Amino acid sequence: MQDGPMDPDIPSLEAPRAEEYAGYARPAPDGAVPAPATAADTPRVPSVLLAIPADRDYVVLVRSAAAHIAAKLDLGMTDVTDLRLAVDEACGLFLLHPAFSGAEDGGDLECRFEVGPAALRITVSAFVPPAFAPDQEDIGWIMLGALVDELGWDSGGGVGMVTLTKRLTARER
Amino acid sequence: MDRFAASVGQTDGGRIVVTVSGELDLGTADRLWADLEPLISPRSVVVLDGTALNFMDSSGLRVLLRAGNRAVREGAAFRLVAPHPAVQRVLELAGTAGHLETRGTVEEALAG
Repeated sequence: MQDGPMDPDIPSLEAPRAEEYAGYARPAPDGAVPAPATAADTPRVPSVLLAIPADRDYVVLVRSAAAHIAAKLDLGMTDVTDLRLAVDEACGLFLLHPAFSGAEDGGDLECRFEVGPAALRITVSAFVPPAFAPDQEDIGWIMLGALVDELGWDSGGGVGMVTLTKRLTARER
Repeated sequence: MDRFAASVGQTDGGRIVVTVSGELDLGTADRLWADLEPLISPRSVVVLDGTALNFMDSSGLRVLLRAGNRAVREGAAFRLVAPHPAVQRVLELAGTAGHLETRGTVEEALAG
């Protein structure tokens, strides 16, 4: 590839028109958006949504995403290590649970990474059977509690959701 | 290339070294247990060389703890070498100090 000016015969690329992208607009997650940031603390890392088959062999993709986002936030090595482990354990709460049916039923795990003004929030959600809840005596849940600043579980409408919150210092956001 | 690999070797003195590399997680931990379980028999010394292990989660930890418990029951020894910070972090979080024998190097682990 040459570095010089482009061939004058090739028309320059035009900015895409808004309507061409309209079909790609993603609906806002219901109630899952952090409070709007002011201009001064607008996060420089965009939200990332990753869906993987509900299969233990694909959790590595979620770890990679977490490590990349942690690096984009300039987190230290210990925090990167902890976030990789935290998302892995969050996926494990579903995938290792005896009542979770998993990918055989065509299910998937949805992992959402959102950088708000003061925190990185990660939610991992999936369709779950009625009365499904993570085992809070399990080593995975206990480790998760030590890895993040806040750990939560919520379910409704057939969907279970683990929420991990990692507070960010002023330098990181 | 597989993201986790395990191989079994034996020293001249009949001690067993299981060398693992990659990521010991919920997708690969069962394979390690399948390798380890038959090796832990009365008076055996099994060293898990995790020098090239770069990730472990609670599923991996459960296999290590199961191996350690089995070793105690069988009158065997099971020792772990796993210096990577991501692995050390799990051991620290789970507070396994009294439940797992760890050594800094394979030589130390083989020596006792």
